[in-house]
Amino acid sequence: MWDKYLAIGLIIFILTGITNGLSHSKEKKDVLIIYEAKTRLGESFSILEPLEIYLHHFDVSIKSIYVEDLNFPVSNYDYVIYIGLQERKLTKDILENLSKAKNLIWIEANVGQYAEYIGWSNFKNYGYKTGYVSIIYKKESVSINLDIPIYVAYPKDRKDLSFLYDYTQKVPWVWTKGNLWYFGRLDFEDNSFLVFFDILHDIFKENHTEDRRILLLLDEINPLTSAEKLRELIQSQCCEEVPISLVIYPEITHSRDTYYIEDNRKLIDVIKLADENDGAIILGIPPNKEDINEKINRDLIALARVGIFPIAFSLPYPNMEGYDKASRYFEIILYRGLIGTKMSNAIGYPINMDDYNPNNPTDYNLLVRRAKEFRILRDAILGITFPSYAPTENLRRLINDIRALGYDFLNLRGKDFYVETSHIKVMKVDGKKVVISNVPPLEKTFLQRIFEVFVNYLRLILIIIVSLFTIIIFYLIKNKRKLYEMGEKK
Amino acid sequence: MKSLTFWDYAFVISMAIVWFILLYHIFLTIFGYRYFLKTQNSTLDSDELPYYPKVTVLVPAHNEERVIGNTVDAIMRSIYPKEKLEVIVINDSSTDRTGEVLRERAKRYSNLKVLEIKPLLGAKGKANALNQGLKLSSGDFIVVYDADNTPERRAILNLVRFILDDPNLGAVVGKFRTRNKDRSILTRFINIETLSFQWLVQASRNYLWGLATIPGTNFIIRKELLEKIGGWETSSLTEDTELTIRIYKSGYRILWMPYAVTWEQEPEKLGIWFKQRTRWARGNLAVIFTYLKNFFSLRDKKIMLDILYFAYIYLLAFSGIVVSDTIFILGLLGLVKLQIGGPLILIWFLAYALYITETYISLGFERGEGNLENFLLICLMYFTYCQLWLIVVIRAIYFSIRERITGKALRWYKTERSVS
Repeated sequence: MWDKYLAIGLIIFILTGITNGLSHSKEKKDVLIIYEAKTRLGESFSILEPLEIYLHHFDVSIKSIYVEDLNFPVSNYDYVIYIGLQERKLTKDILENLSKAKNLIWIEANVGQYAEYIGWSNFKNYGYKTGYVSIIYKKESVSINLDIPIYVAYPKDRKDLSFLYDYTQKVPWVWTKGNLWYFGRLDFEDNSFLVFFDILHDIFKENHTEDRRILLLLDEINPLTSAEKLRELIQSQCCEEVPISLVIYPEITHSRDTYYIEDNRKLIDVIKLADENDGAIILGIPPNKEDINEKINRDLIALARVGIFPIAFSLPYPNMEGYDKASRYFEIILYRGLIGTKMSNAIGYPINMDDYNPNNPTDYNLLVRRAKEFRILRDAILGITFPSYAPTENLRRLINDIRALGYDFLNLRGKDFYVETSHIKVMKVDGKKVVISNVPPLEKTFLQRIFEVFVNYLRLILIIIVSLFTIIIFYLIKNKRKLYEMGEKK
Repeated sequence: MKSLTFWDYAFVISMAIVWFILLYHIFLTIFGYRYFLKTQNSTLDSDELPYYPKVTVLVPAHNEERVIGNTVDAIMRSIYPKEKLEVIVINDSSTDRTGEVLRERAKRYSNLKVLEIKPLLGAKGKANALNQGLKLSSGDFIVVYDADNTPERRAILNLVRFILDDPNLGAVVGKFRTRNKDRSILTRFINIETLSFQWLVQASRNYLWGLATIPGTNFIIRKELLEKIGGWETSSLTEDTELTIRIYKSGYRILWMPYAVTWEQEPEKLGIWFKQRTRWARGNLAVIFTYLKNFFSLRDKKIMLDILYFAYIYLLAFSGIVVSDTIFILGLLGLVKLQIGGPLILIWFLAYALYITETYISLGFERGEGNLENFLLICLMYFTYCQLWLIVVIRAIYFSIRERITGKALRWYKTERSVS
């Protein structure tokens, strides 16, 4: 009898789980961002735009509206994010509307007006405060600049999620009460965003598993790169069991001259070898004014002609227009952002560490410290570029230091990838890279082939002839007596 | 995606043109060396000849007061029976003391005849003067020397020896050396140039094809043949090259040999050198065009090859060098980037090494010339003297084209003498 109940219960549980899972994966959460300003007063860094981008870390659909344009009920949205970057008087209508929100996430100023409107007693509103040295979150501590203003306000009965520390006391700056989550600061230039996004996992009920990974990119591989040097770096990574990711720039201009990957046959061989051994080939383009569509197509063809097929694209700038364009061709895009996103049907992997500069030890220390701070984010992905010209021993040191922080290395070949242009398709099928291409392989013209044969033979002939002539000269010098006389004196 | 450009094609074509001739010159060097070994093995037994034919030495002179006396003296010192040696100096409308010097020498040497040519008949170039001398000559063989020459004592004897030896020889050419080679860097360059020309071009062609070019001095020719082919061509700037071809056309051969040596004075100033070499280049171009037009009328296939060789050198090889030099300079300026590749720098170095070794070998045949100073000069010559030849040929082509357009006749330029 118990068996029957157990079986029925199990079936109900499984079906419910599947149904929930389906509905969870299919239905995106609707998020409304209400902003008072896009930037903080006196600053030029936008808060709104990166927030819109990085919210795509979650399965959400986003709408943004200026606070004075709000003329519809916010209760239609699953989540409302209010960005209070300026201290201003909110109208009753707005407060009434906000009070109807299913879940309200308030950032910085004017939260006191909301608290008063909904009748919270014992609400302390201290306004913008400075002098904090660190953020304490989940037993971790990350530094912040003393000068950073953080809006401090909180009710008496609340649940604290994160504190500020000023050497003497802890001050709550992230807390929750009822359906409100409050953040005393959100900025993408300091570490406050790390706490924000980690807590958003809980708010959005997206339980991304704790998985901190690092994407180590061997960058700046171009026609002028030494094949031997790249081979050395790859071998070093293999010894450390770090997945290979190569960012290739097939065409570069240097000192007014343009260089092409096809001219560096040795480099091509090394790249192909990395590809055959599960290395991820990533197409990189330098930041210039050329149309990105044209450049991607041209570079993909240039690489296809020499048998190299990238699986991802590295966007050289944090530009969403470029991201959207690139996403027409690539499912994996590396971009100059802070956290991983999923937009325009492409997964964006962030290159969020400063470029590794082999010539500056200070930069290296900052890089390691930043990687340490990123651990706050439960599913942090770090993107580090290591230039192909940097010393190999520096790469080993970087790998070891990062690994010591608890990061695993990310293998892009392990992810689902898809690349498509009118000539090329690259996809993952049964764990293998499959390439369909109608780009003819690079074949030298008849003239080039003939010329190369000619030059090679010529080199050989000349070496022999010059050697022979040198022997003749030595013979003549040795047999001076047999030479023609100067003749009879005039 | 890069693709081949006009410059790539131009570069490949110019490389092919230039390297074709450079590879041919490798053969010339090898066979020049073979000829050297051959001449080393054959010794001239004595100063005696089976018989001594009557020889007339023609020396055209136009304002040669500085050099003509020494030249006559040197010829008169020749080891050849005086009664069989007739020397005719053609004083071609000289306005200096040439006539005076010659009259003084005529008193001293009974076998010296001075032929005075006055304006209207004279001053029409070397070919005209030689033709006038030819009319007066009584020898069976004609030997020609320029007025600045100092032939060695056995020069005439050996010229006669070789032409008597082979009835198929229409002419025999001896070797000329630079008398004033130590005067300037230019004359040092010319010394190297003349030796390498003779040992690499004359000797090897002689060895390979039985071909040689008459250089205008220090050669012997059968008088009968000369009369048959009409003497020297007066309208030609390089009457010697032109005469060469006509000798081959008539079925005779020409031999170059190193046993008859004359020492001549070369230009010491660049301006004089330019004028002289431009005349040669213009004259040679005129000859090339003349015979290219009547190419298939040439009976001797070897001389056809020789005409092609000179046409190739003057028209194609020089154009190839100009094009590749232009591409090189534009490349340095960043205006041209070739897509075509290969170990081109190594090839260039090997070509340079080839040039140095080839030239040094030709100097090495002569005692005292295969020294460090000449080695360094050869290294320098590549970038200096050799490049001047480009200007000479371009000038010559320009003058030739201008001449065709304007219809102005060729004017014979007499090389100015610097020293006595």
